[in-house]
Amino acid sequence: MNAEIPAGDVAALRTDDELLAAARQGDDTALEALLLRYQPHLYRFGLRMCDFRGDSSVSTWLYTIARRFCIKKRRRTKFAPRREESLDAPGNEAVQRLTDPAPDPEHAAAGREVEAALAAAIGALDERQREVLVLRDVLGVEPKEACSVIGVSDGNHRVLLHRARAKVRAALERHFAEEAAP
Amino acid sequence: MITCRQMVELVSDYLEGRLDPGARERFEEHLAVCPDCREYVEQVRETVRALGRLPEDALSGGARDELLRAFADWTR
Repeated sequence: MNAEIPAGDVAALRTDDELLAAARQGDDTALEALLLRYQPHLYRFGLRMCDFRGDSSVSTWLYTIARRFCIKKRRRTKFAPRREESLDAPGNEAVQRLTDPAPDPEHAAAGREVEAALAAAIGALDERQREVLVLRDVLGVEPKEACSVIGVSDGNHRVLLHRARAKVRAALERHFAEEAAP
Repeated sequence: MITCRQMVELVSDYLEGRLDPGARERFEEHLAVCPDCREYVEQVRETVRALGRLPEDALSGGARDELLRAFADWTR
């Protein structure tokens, strides 16, 4: 007789690598199991390492942890930023995942090219400009919260955001000009 | 009235609603008579919109068309 085992119990038996592989294939249950597995550790880590005492919002705290993690990873090798943000690489799987499959393959391909151009433009920004742009425009974080995460004044954040947007706009302009060229 | 150069510097604040009423009025007066700046503002607006779509549905064909329209005259 085969007793039915709850999905959560099944996930608990899988290794981190197995859960991660499943999550990458779109298995939400696996992703949830992975996050739940590390949630208590992250919370304790945050309490100790990131000075979270309830005087900032949880989202600010989590973005701050993620930001520090990304900075640390980028510093591992001098080529790390390009490799870890390889969204601009042709045929990159991350870019593929960003796409919304459209019924018209030609249209979908053109959309992917724009995504790749956007991703490349983001990757080419100065670090501070990229942080502000990703938080504000990609993730939709409110200005005040973005300033807290990055540790800049409101005025500085406005300048960084303005310059970042101008560069991404210019990159798109070049992209469409090249596309229109005979 | 503000110049095109000043307009470019203010576009982000304009889109975010951060200009004071006087500056906003001057900005819009300029937009009313400057088609190039109107186009520029529209391009920045569409760029921000496209960035906001990146994590989830990225750019569907329709979103790409909106961007293309915003940039079409500029690249002619």
